Amino acid sequence: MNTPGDVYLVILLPALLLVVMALVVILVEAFFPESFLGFPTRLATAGLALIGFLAAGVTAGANWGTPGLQVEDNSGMIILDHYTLFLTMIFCLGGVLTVLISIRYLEDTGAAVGEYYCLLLFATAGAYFMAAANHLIVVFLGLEVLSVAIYPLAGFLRRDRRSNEASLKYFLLGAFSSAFLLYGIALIYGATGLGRLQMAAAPGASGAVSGLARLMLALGPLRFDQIIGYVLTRGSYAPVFWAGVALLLVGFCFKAALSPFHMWTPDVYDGAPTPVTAYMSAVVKAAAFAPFFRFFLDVLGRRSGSPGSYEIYSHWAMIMMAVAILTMTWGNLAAVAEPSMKRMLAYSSVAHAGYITVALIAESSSALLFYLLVYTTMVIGSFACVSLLRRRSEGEALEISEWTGVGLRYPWFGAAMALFMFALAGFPPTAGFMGKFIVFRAALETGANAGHQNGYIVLVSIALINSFISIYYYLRVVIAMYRPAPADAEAVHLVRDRTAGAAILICVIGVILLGVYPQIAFGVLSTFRF
Amino acid sequence: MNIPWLSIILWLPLAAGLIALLLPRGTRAKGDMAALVAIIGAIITLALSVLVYIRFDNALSSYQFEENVNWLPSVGASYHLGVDGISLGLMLLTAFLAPLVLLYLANRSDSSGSIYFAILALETSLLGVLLSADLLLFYVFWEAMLIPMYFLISVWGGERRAYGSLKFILYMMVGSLLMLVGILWFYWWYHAHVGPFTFNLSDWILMNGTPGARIPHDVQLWMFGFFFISFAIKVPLFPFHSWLPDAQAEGPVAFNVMLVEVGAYAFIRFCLPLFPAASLTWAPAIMTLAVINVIYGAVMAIVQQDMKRLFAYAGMSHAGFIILGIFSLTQQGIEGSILYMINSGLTGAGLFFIADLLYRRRGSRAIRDFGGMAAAAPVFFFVFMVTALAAIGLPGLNGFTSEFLVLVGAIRANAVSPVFGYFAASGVVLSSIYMLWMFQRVMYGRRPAPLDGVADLQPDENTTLWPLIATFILIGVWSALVTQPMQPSVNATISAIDRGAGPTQTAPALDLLMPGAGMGAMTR
Repeated sequence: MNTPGDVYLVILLPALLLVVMALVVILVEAFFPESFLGFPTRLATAGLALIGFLAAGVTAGANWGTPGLQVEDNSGMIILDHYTLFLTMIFCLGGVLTVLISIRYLEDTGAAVGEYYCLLLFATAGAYFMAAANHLIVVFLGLEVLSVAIYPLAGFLRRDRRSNEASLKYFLLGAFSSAFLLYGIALIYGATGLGRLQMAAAPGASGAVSGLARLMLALGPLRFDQIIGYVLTRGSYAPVFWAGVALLLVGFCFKAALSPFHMWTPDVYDGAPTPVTAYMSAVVKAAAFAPFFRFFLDVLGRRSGSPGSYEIYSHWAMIMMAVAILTMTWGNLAAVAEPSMKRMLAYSSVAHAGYITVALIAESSSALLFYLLVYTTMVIGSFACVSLLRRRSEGEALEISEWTGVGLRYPWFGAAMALFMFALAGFPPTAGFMGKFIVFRAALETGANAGHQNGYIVLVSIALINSFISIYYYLRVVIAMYRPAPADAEAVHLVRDRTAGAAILICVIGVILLGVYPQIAFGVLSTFRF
Repeated sequence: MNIPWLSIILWLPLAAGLIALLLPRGTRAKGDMAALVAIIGAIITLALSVLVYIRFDNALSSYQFEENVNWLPSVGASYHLGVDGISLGLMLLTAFLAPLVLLYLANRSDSSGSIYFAILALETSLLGVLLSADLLLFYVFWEAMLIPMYFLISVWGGERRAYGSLKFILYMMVGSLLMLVGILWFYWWYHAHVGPFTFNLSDWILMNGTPGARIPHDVQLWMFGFFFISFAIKVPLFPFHSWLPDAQAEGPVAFNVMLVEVGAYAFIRFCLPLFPAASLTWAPAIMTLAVINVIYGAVMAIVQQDMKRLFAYAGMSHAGFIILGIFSLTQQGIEGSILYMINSGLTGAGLFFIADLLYRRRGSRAIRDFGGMAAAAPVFFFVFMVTALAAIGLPGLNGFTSEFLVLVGAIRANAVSPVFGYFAASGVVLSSIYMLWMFQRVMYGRRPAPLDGVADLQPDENTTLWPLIATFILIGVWSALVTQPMQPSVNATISAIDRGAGPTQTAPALDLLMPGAGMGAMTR
């Protein structure tokens, strides 16, 4: 893997697999509307999408042990390290689970199929670029690929008004926040890149350099390591730069659903088709945290090494602490009073974004990645359960009150849902506890090392209080499920769906295994330092 | 040969429960199959526990049958199991109660694989709490215990079970999260002052026994507080008790019986050796609460109309004695407490089984709905009488020895005033009032209605109750069976307190002669 071509291939392979499979899916849908290779097309496309996700995930896993893995392409815009690989595996796991939930769901809702899987694959490719980005433009491109794929997915049930509303809301606010992000990037470029731009534009200075290379040279100042250089030399006083960082923060907070930029979450999660909601709450959130973490760790974190970096870190850590506390408190308090299942889970996902932010503040990639993995299994599992319980009349049983007696009528289904609720509430021996434990522990450790421990202790204490509040609303679901059903209990029924059942089973195994033996994932994570 | 006995004992119930759960449902025969698997699993667990008891070396104070495997090495947690004199008896108790409950439920038509699974999962988590020698592992089991308990109340409970189960779990979680804070704090302290990250209990105890590394007194007081609240809620101790009557009254008999006193156990296992100086300082305050527990529980029990609530308050009164014995910080007191935990587990099981049998016969638990049963059901009468007398503490039955030891320990305590023992002794009288008065109203007196439905004990009911009666008598006449193995471990705990509290003892010890000073310490 010495030639540049090999390096490009290794770096891009997961994304290439996803994109190629997306194109195959859409072509199969177009040219074989009835059946493909003997399978009905709706199954064949799902199968192809599964293959795409699995192939990308396996590719990422296969690269894990490759020595000299931290390769960058010539421009250094994309970086392939353990962080990228692990996130890619999380994305692909999320993709596989989403496809498994979607097959029957799409059939029941009568939505067209092919482009759905195509969009899922594209979105995941975008997520991959966000994880691998070492450059703000790549972050933006990845984000847009992801978002543009999610907008139609959120509105996929065209005849459902709420789905349309979700899509429109997500699009308008998403475009708005993308603008924030882009403006932030522009300001950062303005601060860091002025000299370089003139150099690149000056005739003769770069000699026979091609146009593309000239562009690379011009965009160089947006690379994370270049920004570090700027921060180190002139970072202590540079209002334009810090204004750009602030706008960047707004953009990231929106995508990750952090308060006070989370307002879209309940409406969008509620209106979007449930499998898409599952995908959004797991993969999109993880993808939003990926560059967020890398940028703040690389550029503003203590590891950039200068004496001033401690001061910078402590400033932004303070801001992020406020964001984290606000996010989890707001999410939890709003969820307490929420009668609708999907909206409750939406607020719960806001609260969990707050816990993930704690890992961000702790600057611990292993805690962050472990939590994202745990959260993916818990949240997709619970949305999978939600997608299976339907009203007799039409649609899903989305009110928590409609779940009355479900656990007694469908013991296995009820047990799985109850397990996910306990996991989300953070009970051991489920993975939810281990995730929180590892994150909070990492925050305390960072606090001890950073020298101002009290802020971290307050942060973790508030996170613990929030975990306590969250028990109440997660248990409301469990209580409802095990309350004897009233006479009209037959109003809801469980859809028998083998593939979604398989997805739930995978999540159940994940939630238990990561809780009982977290070393299985945390071991590999804690052996490397990102 | 190195057989992991404790691991087998720990996980066998869960495995049996899973098999019982996975057996196909539907026909009656299949239901019996699930019960059979569950009961066999529980009985093998009991047999193995007895084997451990037999092979247990009574002369040692340290952990025996130890297993220590890395669990989460990067944070310093290990899968570390061990049994010593303090946990041995309670392990036997847990392993003994589970098959009894299963036997009791096996003939009920509404039993299914899922309740067997809940009971066996609860058994595993209780055993985990008793056997773990690693704080994180302990915490995981401590919390995991709540899930089967919650389901036992909320699925198989009485009419207000949603309320009872939610109240139960919220109370428990407040305590657990506070304990988690305490655990993390200690963990950090250990890392900062000794070096490595570890959750190993013995290492932590060792640190507080080392003069240089000892945690300062004021910090200990706070850390102790975090652990204390969690355990006090579980016990329950006076101001934290209000979940108990609701959970016990709404919970099914399986929950009532399996509510083993792990809270008090945790006091001996963790609070005393980890925070010796703080234990000494807090002892008078906690003894005050314990005395309130004894008297308040007994008085509340006297006025109860519902039998299960009465037994719940009786259990609370017993818990007061247990805590009294522990914080007397004497050999007799702590031994008596451990014995008391086992006895109150046994007699409590008997009483709640009887309450359920009465409910089965008349569909009510209100005392006024019963009366004059003695003539109609003589065997029932006898069993109930022996159980009630054992709970009161009649000499010759199990309750007496433990109550006596606790009171002797409390009165002979050096660290705290004997006043607490004198007050607590009134509980002996009060317990006779609530128990015998209830017994009289249920068994004698006027019949409220024709006693058509009241049958004597059935064969399957006999198989549950007579083993309990046998243990009452066995422990009553030969309590050394239980107290002998615990002596070295209790002795080691007490000397750990003496060592750990050494230098800080001078100033507080003067305060501690007066109970009022203890109250002062609480508000400080």
